Amino acid sequence: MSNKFLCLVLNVVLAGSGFAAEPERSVIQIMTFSQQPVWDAPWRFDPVRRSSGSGFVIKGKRIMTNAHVVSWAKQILVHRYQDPRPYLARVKFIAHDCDLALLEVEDESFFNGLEPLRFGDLPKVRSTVVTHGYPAGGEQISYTRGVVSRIELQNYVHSGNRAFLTVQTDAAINPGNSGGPVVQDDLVVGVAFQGMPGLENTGFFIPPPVIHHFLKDIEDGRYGGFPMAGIRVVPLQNPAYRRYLRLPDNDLGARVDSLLPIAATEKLIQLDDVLLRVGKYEVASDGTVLYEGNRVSASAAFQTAQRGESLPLKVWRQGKETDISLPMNVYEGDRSVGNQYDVLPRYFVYAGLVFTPLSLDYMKTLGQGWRDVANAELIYELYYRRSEAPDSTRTEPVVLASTLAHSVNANFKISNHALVDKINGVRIDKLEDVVRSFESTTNTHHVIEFVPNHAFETLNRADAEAAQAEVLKTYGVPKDRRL
Amino acid sequence: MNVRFIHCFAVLLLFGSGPGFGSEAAKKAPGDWERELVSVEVHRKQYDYFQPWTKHVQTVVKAGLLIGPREILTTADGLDNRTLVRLQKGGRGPWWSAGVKWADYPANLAVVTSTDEKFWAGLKPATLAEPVKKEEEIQIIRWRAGNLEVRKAEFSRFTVSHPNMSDAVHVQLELSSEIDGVGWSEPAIAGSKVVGLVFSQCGNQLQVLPSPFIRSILDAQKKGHYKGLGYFDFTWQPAENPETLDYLKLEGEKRGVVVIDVPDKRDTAPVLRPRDILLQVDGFDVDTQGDYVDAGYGHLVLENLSTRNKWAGDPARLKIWRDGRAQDVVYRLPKAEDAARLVPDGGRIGNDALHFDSPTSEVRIQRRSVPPS
Repeated sequence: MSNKFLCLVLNVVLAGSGFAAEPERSVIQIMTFSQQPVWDAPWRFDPVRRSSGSGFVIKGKRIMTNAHVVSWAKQILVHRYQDPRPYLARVKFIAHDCDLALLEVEDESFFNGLEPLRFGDLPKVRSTVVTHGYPAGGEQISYTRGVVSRIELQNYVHSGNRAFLTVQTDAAINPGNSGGPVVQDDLVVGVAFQGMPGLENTGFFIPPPVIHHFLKDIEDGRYGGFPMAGIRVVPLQNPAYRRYLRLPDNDLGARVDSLLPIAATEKLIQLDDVLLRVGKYEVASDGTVLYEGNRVSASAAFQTAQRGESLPLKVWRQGKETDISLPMNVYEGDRSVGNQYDVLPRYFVYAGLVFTPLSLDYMKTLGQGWRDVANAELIYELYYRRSEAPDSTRTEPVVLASTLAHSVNANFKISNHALVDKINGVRIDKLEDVVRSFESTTNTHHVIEFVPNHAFETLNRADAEAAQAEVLKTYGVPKDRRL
Repeated sequence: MNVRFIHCFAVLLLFGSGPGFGSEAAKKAPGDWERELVSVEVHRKQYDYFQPWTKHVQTVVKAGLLIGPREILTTADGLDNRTLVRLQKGGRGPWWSAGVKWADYPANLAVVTSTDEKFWAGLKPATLAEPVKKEEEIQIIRWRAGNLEVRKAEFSRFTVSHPNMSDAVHVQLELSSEIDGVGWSEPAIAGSKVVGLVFSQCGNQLQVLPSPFIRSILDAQKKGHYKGLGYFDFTWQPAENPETLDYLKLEGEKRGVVVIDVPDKRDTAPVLRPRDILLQVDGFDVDTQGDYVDAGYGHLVLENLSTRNKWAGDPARLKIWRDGRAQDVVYRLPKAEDAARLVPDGGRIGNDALHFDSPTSEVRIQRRSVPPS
């Protein structure tokens, strides 16, 4: 479990609540031994970390928990309620975008006597919920009770770049509750998953619509992810603008302000279209929809679709309503600006120069204040170029992550964390270009150019090739590349 | 210009006429500075960039030095968007209405004057040191609550940087002192001479405009040669990696720096090209770190050669390595513009509505008020 916003369990005094099914018996303690890669020395791993979280049994002899409880896991041990014996578990499905995971236990006897918990509906605001889990501060299961404070879209910290429907409760938040069930009337109405430092009595859980979306997604045996339309809308409440667009004088419709480079969306949607309806939800002029009595961002309506489905939209275009069937697919184009999991970072080491793709995970190696210390070019390349200058966007910008000191590169003056522009005249669009440009040249010197200002460094090719093995051996780099 | 800095000015900037302009003793008591050091009060507008119609009023009191007939030298910092300038002598007493004769923000220098004859009575000009000697005892002086405050300072180093008001860079003197709250043109003195004006403070470190730099500009102003500071608009990188110089086929000793970026100019073809090796500027050899040896200051970064007795539009003679051979080219220094924050307000009021910022304009000041004396 990471140190992000950790989840908690709301406690509950069960007196009088009448849990006939004793749901606490189906709440699981999860011990995870994990190792994360070092993003600026990608062949290495951080030390093994031991952390704990919570989960609960659902039908099909599976344990539901948060993705962040079991991310980068090397070993997962699960404990039943008041049973000292650990059981080995493994990840069956993991959804990093919505921070959910399903585990299976090698020894199926683990599930003997455990009743799978059933899911309820999206709880009402002001209704009471109880969270169950194994937070820090003790060994036994803990319960906390709170009310549903509000329901809206919130950023999911585990992925870092996705927002989904979230329920806020006033239950206390403690590390270790992550993955535990939030129960109302014997039914699970959420999975506790994150809190917010600095706020008191504020915890968040993943509600049933998101959970059901995940469970339906995996019915085909793999998790595909939440699709994205790639449509950004802005409020359309300026009367003059509405008249300009010949829109009726009502409170419906939000203007399409920008589009992600998704082929279907770019083909079917235009800037200045006014989004009137998404699926069965009318879009209000402030860009929200009324979702089960809660006014939330229209994104929630898009998130009702599964990947591969088409979503019916109604837009206002050129003075009249138009119906569109928009194919919904998963968008991977912003992967580098979210936290990445499961796939080890790619790299290439040549003559002590460590090249790796630019990513949020890499930027975080600069420390907590990385936004302040990173150079402007990296920030621009990572976050803004894709939308500001799409024609010059690179598929996978590459940085000089670090330099393993050796006489062959001892006189380099280019600082690490520099964005690579060209190598031997080849524009670096992705990491494979680095490898190809080094390995294909016959010149006496390698020339590595950086952004900005065309700063460059040179390596004597013969010396670099002669040094390669020694550098790898000296620094314990098992392979010169992971592509 | 290939003449060493300290030899460039055989003539001191001081003026030979009037009482008190004669030679001075090698060292004088701090109290002797009471006739040279004055206070400059500046009332100015500060803009609120979120509410541009809102203007806050700020008043700063700076130090000024008499340097010649009716000329008070101070730093330009704080003079932008001014509404009223006044002078006070002796650290107390009446304030005299004044105006800015000229202000040069890239150089961070200004000359203030007053038309009131009474103000000038009893004052005498200061002498700017040439050159600044590291081993001298240096003190910082300023008026404080009517008394002359004198605090010790120690030489730290010479650096090359810009004073945050333009792209121009020039030599600066860095001193260490326990004094606080300075940076408003307080003179740094050594013996009987001024070695610089303090324009910035960070902790115990004081940034000072050195007197030779000041003198070069005052002298050029007097002769009508001054066209503003220039700067090098190309970007270079050190050439400490010998492989880079081999790659660029430089013959002989490893030296010079590599030009990596040259701005596009619509009107003229650039003199320099990326991957040129810059070997010399005005006869000064450039090493692989980008330094040259200055007779007055020692090792300085080559950028200082853009403001070392050179002004915007002046030629700089560069020796470069290109296409396998050394070549001489002439580079014209572009003019350093004021920083964006200094963009003046169109509705300037007060004395300076008389366009005092032009060095060539005639000084016409109307006295606005006379404080009770």
